[in-house]
Amino acid sequence: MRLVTSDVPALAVNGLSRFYGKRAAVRKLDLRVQPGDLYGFLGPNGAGKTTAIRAILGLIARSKGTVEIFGERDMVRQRAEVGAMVETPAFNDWLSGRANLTIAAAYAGRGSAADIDEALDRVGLRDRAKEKVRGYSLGMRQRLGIARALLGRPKLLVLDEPTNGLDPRGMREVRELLTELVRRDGLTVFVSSHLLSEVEAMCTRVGILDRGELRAEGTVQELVQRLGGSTDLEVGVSDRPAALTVLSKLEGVTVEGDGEAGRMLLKLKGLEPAVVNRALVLAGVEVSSLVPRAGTLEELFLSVTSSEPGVA
Amino acid sequence: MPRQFFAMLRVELLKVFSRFSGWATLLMAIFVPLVTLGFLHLINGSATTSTVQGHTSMGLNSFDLVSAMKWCMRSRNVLLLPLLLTLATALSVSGERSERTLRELLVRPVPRWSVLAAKQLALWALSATSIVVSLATTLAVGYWLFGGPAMDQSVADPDESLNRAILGFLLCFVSDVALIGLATALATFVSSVGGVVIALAFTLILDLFGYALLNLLAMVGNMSWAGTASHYTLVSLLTVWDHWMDEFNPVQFAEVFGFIALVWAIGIARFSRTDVP
Repeated sequence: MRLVTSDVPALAVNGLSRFYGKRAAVRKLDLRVQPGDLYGFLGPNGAGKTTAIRAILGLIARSKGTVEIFGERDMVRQRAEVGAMVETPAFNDWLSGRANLTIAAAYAGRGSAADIDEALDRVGLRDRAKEKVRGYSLGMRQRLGIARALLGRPKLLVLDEPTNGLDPRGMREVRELLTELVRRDGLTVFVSSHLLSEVEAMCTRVGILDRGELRAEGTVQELVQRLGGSTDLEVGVSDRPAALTVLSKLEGVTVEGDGEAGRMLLKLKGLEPAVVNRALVLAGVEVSSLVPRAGTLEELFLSVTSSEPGVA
Repeated sequence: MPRQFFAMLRVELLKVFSRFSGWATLLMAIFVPLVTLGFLHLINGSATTSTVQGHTSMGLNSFDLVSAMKWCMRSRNVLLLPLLLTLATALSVSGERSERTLRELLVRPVPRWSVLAAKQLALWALSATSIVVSLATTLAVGYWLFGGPAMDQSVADPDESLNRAILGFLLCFVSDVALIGLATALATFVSSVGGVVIALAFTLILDLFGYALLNLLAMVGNMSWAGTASHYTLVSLLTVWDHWMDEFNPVQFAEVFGFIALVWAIGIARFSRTDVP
């Protein structure tokens, strides 16, 4: 039975596990993707992202756990609301791009010729739609895969590495398209990627998977604050040895090395940059520049995924 | 059944008929009867020698439309068309799985059995079309080369003889459906197209050995059970069209339909649980 309320998550994954023999490719995965989220599913290669997505979509059996999509538990019915692209999209190469979308529309049970045109327009392939797919470049196939996922106006879009094979312009176009789908059309997008900059640029929430387990989940800012707890600071000083003496007496400051343009790179823990500035100035060290650097998703990602299983 | 089933069937027909295996099947459906009829026409009227109980007798090859049709039917069902239908089936299931296009279908809101059903029906349509094309070619060219049907020894009425031959031709469809079902069941276990074709060939060769062994036991060892068991081999089941020419055997038809139901059940059960890459 379908429950349509605003509190119902677009995607709820509860304790999902998938074992291959004794090896767990995905272990006890819990995810909540709210309607309107652009959720980034991050993880290094081999972390289990694609296995998790395939299990969510029912392409492979789930060893344990349940998946609900907009409150729907039935695997067939829940897919009515989903458009998906898993890994590199595959096509019937001897058919045209349009014929491939016609096949997808037939199986989706919705998607008229006008819908196919609209999907092709969105990815800029309408002019090439009559050509056989075997003549398409990797980027064109990727865009056609996105057009296929958009057919039938799904409420939830599940995309696995959608910018694979795209040039920087194509990657940017996909990012803009996904952002527009969320903002303008109210879609929920669940996108896996190992490209941190891409996820950081577009996602409202992220989950980080490592060795089959979810290590962190939240907004980028939340996660950086929660897991890092430190701020980097670059300081330009007139007298470096004197500055080092001052800083060595301050608690919560670690000198990491050299920053940009000859500045010193400091790591602050529980200390404001203004305190460092005041201490240096009072000790007679001239401060020429003070550049705070927020923690990045990359640092978070590396700190979370480098730890041993079960530690983070 | 999902409400979009007929749309699914329509696109599966598009795929089956547009693949190499599809149009090759239709080309062979014309080519095989043409070659067979040409050969029969060439040897028609030539001398034959046969030895029965030590006595050698001379005769002449003599073909009419009905006997030529029987030969066309046999040549159709012996090698090329079953091979192409097996290939079409393997491409439709194993091929789509290894090419990963099957994944794109299974992320849609349809039960897995309906995907397999749509593919099967499209393959049945390919078989039916090939039979109709072969029959039309055989009738048209056969009539031109051999004239109308002659008097058959077992059937007094030449028209009835022709009707039986036509019916036998159409019943090749039952054998094809059984073959497609078997190939589909194998395709749910074997993930490569070549693997399915080889597996089916091995299955049929083993079955042929079994059939020969059982008949040998029945004849030499006088074991009646072996004779009965030989009726349940694939060779016996898949040649249901041949027996129709001589006499109607409802038991054999029941066995074929039972076999089709069995391979269907195995195929669907396996397909429903298979992980799709």
